[in-house]
Formats: sequence, C-alpha cells, structure tokens
Amino acid sequence: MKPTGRTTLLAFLTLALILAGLGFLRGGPILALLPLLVYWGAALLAVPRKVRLKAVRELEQRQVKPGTSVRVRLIVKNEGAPVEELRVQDTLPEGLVLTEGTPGLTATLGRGETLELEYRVEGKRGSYLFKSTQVQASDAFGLLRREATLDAPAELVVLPDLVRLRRAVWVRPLKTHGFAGPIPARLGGSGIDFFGLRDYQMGDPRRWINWRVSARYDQGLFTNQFEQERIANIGLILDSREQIYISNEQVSLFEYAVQAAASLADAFLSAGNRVSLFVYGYTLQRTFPGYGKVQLERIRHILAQARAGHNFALEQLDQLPTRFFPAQTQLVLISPLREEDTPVLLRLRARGYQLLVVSPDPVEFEHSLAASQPNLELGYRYARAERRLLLNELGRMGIQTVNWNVARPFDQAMEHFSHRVFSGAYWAGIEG
Amino acid sequence: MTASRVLSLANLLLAAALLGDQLAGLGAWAGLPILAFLCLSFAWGSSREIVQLFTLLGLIGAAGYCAILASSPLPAFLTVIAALTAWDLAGFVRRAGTPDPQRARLAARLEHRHLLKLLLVDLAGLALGLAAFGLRLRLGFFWVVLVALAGVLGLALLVQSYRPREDRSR
Repeated sequence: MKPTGRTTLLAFLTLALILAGLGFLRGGPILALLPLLVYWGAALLAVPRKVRLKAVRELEQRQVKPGTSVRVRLIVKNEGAPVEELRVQDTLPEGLVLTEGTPGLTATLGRGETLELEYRVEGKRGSYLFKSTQVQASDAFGLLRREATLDAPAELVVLPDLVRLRRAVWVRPLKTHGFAGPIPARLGGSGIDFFGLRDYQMGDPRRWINWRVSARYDQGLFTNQFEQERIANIGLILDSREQIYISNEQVSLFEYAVQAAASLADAFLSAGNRVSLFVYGYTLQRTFPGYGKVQLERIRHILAQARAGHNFALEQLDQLPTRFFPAQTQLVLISPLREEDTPVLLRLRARGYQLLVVSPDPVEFEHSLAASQPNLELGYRYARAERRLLLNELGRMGIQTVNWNVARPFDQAMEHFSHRVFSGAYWAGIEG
Repeated sequence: MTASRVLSLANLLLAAALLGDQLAGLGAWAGLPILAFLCLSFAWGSSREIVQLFTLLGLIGAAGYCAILASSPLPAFLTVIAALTAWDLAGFVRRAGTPDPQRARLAARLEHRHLLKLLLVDLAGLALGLAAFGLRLRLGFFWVVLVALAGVLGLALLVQSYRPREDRSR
C-alpha cells in the first residue's frame, strides 16, 4: 500500500491540530480534528486489502498498413473485492500515436465487474509490442492506494508499403528450378522464345518443324527449340547499415529501401519464384527460402521490424554470409551503395551469383531535402557525377543496377529498368 | 464532474465566509487578504495539486488559530468540514480527469458514489463534532497526553496493518 501526497498532508494537519490542542490546552483544535479523523477512518475502511484484477487486450487488426488507425480494447475484470477508485493507465509502445480516445480511465469496479478501455492508435512501419497496463486501486478519497502491473500482451505490426509492380522484374540467374515459371532457363524445350535447332525426333509437333532449315539440308528434318521458362531462387538482401542512408527527423531513405524490398518480394513471389530475405547491416535477420503468400507475409513481417542502425562488426558488406544463398542464385541487393562496396559485389559475381542492385538514389534524395542554395548546386553536380561513375563501374562488372530516384514511384523505376535491359544498357535510372 | 466542481467551490466559499467572519471578529485583518488570495488561487487553479495543498493548509491552519482564540470553536469546526469537502472534491475532479463522452455513464457512477461517501463522512463528522461539543470532560494534562499518544499510535498501527508483508520489513 502506498500513501499519496494527500495522505502526508492530512497526517501533518492531524498532528498539528493535536499538538495545538495540547499546547494551548484548548478543546477547539481537538474538536476541529474530528472531521479529519472520520475522513481517515472512512478511507482506511475502504482501502482495498488485495487487488485481484485481470486484463485482456484486443486489437482490431494485428497487421496493418502504415497510417491505418487501429482500435485497441483493454478489458479489466475485477476478480477480487470491490475497488472504490480504480485508475487504469495503459502505456503505449514507443512510436505509436494516439488518434482517438484516451488510454487512461478512472472508475469504480465491483466484484466480478469488467471495465473496458478503448482508444485508437496509428504508427509508422514497425512492430509494436503492448506489454502491460498500470492500475492503481485506492479508497474513495484517494488517500491510500495499491499499484499493480497487469500483463496484457499484444503485438501490432505495421507492415511496409507495398507497391505492386505492373511488370515482372527481368532477372536471368544461371540456375533455375524444375518447375515452370517466368524466368528464361537457358535450356531448350517448350516455351515462347526461340532457343535453337535440333534433329527431328518422333513425337515432335509438326508446328515445331523448321521447314526453311530442313529444306536446305538433305539429311532430315530439324525442329525448333524454345527456351524453357522456369522458376528460380531469388535472394533479396536489404542493406540496413545506417551510415549509408540519408535521413532527417521526418523521412529516411531506408524507408524507401524497405518499400522496394517489399515490392520486389511481392513481384518475385507472385511469379512463383522461391524467395528469401536477408537484412544485413544493423542486425542479421533472415527468412528461409519459400513460396507463395505465406512467404510474402513472413518477409513483410521481417521488413516491418527492420531498422537501420550502426553495427561495427557489419560496417562493410564483406561480412555478408553468402552461404545462406545457394550457388548461382539470383541476388537482389537493395542498397544506396558506397564506393567501398564494389569489390564485394565483384566477388559475389565471381562466385557465380547473378546480381541486381536496386539502389535508392542518396544524391537526389539529399538534394531534395536540402534547401536550394547556389553553392550547394556545385556539390550536387559533383556527387551526381560520382554516383554515375559508381553505377558505370557496376555495369562494367556485369551487375544490373536500378538507380531509383525516390521522388518517383518505384514501379516507374522498375519499368524503366526493363526497357533499358532489353535495349542493352547495364544500369537504368530515372533522372530527377 | 460539473457537480463535484460546483460543490467544491461552494464549500470553499462557505469555509472562506465562516473563516472571514471569525478572523474579523478576532481583529486579525491581515488574515483576510491571505484568505482571499488562497480562495482565488483555488478557484482559478484548483486542478493543480500544489494549489489544493496550500489552500487546505491555509484554511485549516487559520481554522485552528480561530479555534484556539475564539470563544466558540463551532465555526472553526464547520470551516474544517467545508474546507475538507472542498479539498476532497477538487482532488477527486483532478484524479477523475475529463472523461470521454462515451464513458459518461462510468464517470457519473463514480461521481455519484464519491459524493454519497463524502456526504456520509461529512454527516458523521458533523454528528460526532456536535456530540463532542455538547460533551464536557475535564481531563488532566497527563490523561490528555495519554489519549493523544494512544490516538497517534493507533493511527500508525492501523496504517501499518494495511501495508503488505513485503513492505513491513523496510
């Protein structure tokens, strides 16, 4: 039981009146003391001896998009003696914003009665864990109170924004799986794109016979072969090294990287591929390779929790554990990139990984954040030239790069990339 | 919580009027501006605990002064009841906060129960006081000290008995 400030004040006044009565040998102060004593007595009689409360928390939705308001309902049940004055104060996880209602309530609660506290919250991308709620049970006059912490766990996950890509992402890994999919498999068979010619074999459809070639040679008939299209292993790597991301109090380039990772995961999984995610930089988080909507949910859950931070052990990309990805997998790195990262990317290429780098443009992003100043323009031009050189270098290594100016939608950047790939360019970007 | 707020101010005015009359009767004119200042600060900033604290201290201190010097302790006694009621209701309004319109029913129930309890406490205090006012006992100083010590000790033991076991060892 915890006395409050009111208790101290009242105790002081009681003692002062007693001393005054005794000191001056007058009955007046003692008479004036009587209401205080009655007040004390009433408070002590009503103070809860033991608090037996149970709390249950209900969330309207457990996984939501950013900016969605979620109703939180906390139900407190009194399983013990009646509580004259019960103060329930719910603690919001850091980062959540209250949009409606109040997370606190004072009420009287009889035996077996329940109390419902309702409010709405919203938050940015992240995982928010509600742990417990604080209750204070006191007598009717608030003189003595008991405090307790009631467990009421619940998790709210605000998933990253998902921009659906209108076209499939063009990748061409060295190795594919045996199931039909959208990725050219470098193998002849049935498909759409012409792959080569072979001798006619019994059972080949007549439509596949290349009559023009067969007419040139006497030895027999030739059949067209088409490139098989299959699914592939795709490894998404999200770079979460804080030092390479530009951010201010309102916005961070990392949020765009997360958005890109979510969209790419959705695009690859929708096409039937086997996709895994690896978050590298601050912590190491990963999902095992998998297919379908369940895998997309797993990936979005990991992305919801992803944070950019500084980890001295993972300052460089060279600590990237490549053994997580099967040989000849298609890797997709989502990172703004630094010049020091290029040797690591080259090594990945040398180990047989096909590499696509989706790079949210830090130069354009920082330029958009900075106030326009004449002397800033020169620096901007230098930074842009350096960025162009870096992307050209990657292109020479055979690494496909999407330079994404985040002022434009990600979908546009990927569509532009597909056009550029077919026209033979190594890197694609949308100029700001 | 409007009723509690209004009742709190009404009791404050009553306490101030009773006390003002007694102070004027005793010729303690210097106490009147202080009393006015306390009442005004309470009326304007009654949601702050520190204001409530100083107002109650001031009112009961002045009531004690009047109870010692005045010929009849009855007005001082009534002042204490009114001041205690005003202070309690102001504290209750502060603790209850501003309830949501959706929780008006809960707030009304809480307020109703609180007002009822306070009324009972006030009536009990008044009845006890009036009974004591009519009672004449002549005690020697030793007995008075003994009764006072027993009262303080009893109060301390009562509070101690309500503390949980783990707290008692401290």
